[in-house]
Amino acid sequence: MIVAERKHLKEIQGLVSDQDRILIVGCQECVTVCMAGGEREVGILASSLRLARSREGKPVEILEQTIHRQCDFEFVDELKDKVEGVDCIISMACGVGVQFVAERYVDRWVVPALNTKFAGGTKEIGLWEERCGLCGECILYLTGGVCPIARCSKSLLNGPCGGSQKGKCEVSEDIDCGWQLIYDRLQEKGRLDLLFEFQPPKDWSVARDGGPRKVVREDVML
Amino acid sequence: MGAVPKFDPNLVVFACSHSGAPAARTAGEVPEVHLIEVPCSGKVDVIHLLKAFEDGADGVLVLGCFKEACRYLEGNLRAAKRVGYVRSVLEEVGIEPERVQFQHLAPDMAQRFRELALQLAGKIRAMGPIPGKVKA
Amino acid sequence: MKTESRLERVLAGGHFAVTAEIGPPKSASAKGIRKHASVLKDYCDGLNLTDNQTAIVRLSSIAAAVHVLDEGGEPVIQMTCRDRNRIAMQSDILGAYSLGIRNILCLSGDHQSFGNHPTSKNVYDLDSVQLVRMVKEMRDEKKFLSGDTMKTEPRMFVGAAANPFGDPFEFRVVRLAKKVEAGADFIQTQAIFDVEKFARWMEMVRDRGLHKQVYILGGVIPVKSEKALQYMQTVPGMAIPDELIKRMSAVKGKEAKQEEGVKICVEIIEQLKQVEGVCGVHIMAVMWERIVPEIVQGAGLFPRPRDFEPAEPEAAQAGDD
Repeated sequence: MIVAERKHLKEIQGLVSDQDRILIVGCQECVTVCMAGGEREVGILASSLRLARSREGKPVEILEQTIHRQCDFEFVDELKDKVEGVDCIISMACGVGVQFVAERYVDRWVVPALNTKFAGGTKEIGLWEERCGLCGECILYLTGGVCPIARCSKSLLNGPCGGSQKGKCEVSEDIDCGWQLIYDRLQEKGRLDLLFEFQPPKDWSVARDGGPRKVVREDVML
Repeated sequence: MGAVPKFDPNLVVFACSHSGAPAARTAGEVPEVHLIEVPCSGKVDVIHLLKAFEDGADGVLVLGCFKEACRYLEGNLRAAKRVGYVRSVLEEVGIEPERVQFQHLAPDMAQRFRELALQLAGKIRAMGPIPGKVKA
Repeated sequence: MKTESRLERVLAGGHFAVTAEIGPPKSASAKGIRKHASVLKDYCDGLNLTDNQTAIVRLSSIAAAVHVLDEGGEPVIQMTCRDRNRIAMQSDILGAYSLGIRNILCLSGDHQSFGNHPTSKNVYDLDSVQLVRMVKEMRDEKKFLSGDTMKTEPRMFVGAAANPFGDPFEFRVVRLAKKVEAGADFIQTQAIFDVEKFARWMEMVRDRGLHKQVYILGGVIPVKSEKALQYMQTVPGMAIPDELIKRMSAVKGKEAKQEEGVKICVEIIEQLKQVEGVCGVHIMAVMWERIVPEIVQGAGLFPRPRDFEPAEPEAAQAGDD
């Protein structure tokens, strides 16, 4: 899923300081799972904003709606009625959702409430970790299912740098060395031979560096 | 500052029906307290506490069972954590975090209930009302 | 001979080579580099210019190398994969060669979180093994990474680093083998304090016959006090035996400690000379460059071989690109 984290209230407050009628939009997909922008978080943000604005003597009117997916116009359209009554929309989705909402409601001021962090998973309740670097060309079959792009601090492809010590990355003891994980995994599987081969430079043109990417499936297009 | 005008704080108490609520009933009325009985303190969510403040509470107290005594195993622990979270939200908003508290209680501790309620009321009386209170 | 590198000649001539490191300053003055180079050039066969080491912005290694050349020294530019993509790297390699630089050490680079710009974005378009291969192919096949060809190739003597003390320990030799296969001509290792552990690593190196395919220079660091050792004990990828710290602590007085530090360094070099497959020593006396002559003399490595012609002038002619 896409993992996100809510911005500090002060920042969000600053983004809408001159707005008096606001719609806060939640999303039931990833950001609900990572507890950043689901219905519950929409309620908390709305309440916090109301309290904060009342404290300032500038009460604000806030509408709330959480839709199935903000990354799909089909659902974004459901906001139409509520959008009519506001000047500003706070999207509590990932950066994709914010853009879809902004694209649909061009005459409204749309601001993000979250910082979109990474593609990751739930390690335990309340802990999410990055797993995929979204590089556009998966090489997990070479590395025992551990991604060196996302999990090595330098995204190295030919083994660990000199800073790997006791399984930890030179950057921090809180970070596992991605290449130690790869080494261990391949050793368990008896496939250390995969590490002996020279891995050529990666084609980053299929990653973000090639500009906004598209996936087209003509067979499913209407 | 001139003389502080007289201020009677509104306290909302979320009380577990297995501990806080029976204690409150035995204790009899405490004028500042608006009691809300819940099946377990773990049923109280962040938004309920925030709404209480939005609706005019000056202080909120959540009463759960003692650690090992929760009928639902960890409801009381969750409630305590949520109160902690609400404190951080209040801090962000600019409201004193001490206005919300979590306390453990047993059903036969009526006297303790009264003490806790009066203590919080006293504290909040000293703080005064929340500035720009949403509803009176 | 693959290149016109003086360092290569020394190594190919079977001499125990000496290289040392000069850290460019955090300012726009070449004064210090020139001063160090003018002294060290007679004691070393190569002078490494670090590339924004520990991710702290410093005068560029290529510019620093030109100052070293001006002073008559033999520069080895360090190049990390942290700050440049393949376009900038290849461009800098061409430029460095055109300026008379003949040696390059290919590195991953310390992560930017260590330095004075922790909020920067890193590049790592290539890793150090890929960089080695790229420089080799530029030299031997006159090819850019893209496959495009060039007329005048940068004939660089290609170096890489190896850390015998990093983890996973068993993989360290595999990684060295990959660098050799990719085209490394010489290796400069992480600083060695634990000679025993280093010797175990070299055994694995010899088992694979790598010492016959690449010149290995053992890294050493002279220290001024036990504090430096204690600090290095906390640095990832360093192995510092406790006995050394005890030995330094037992010596009292600043000057006596410094003498002891030099003594330890010389002893380590003497031990490294005995390890089969070690072709030289790389002295990293950062912020203490002036001590290098004393160490080289102490280790019986002075004077340096000078029985060959200076590097021949650049092959490239005007108009020939």
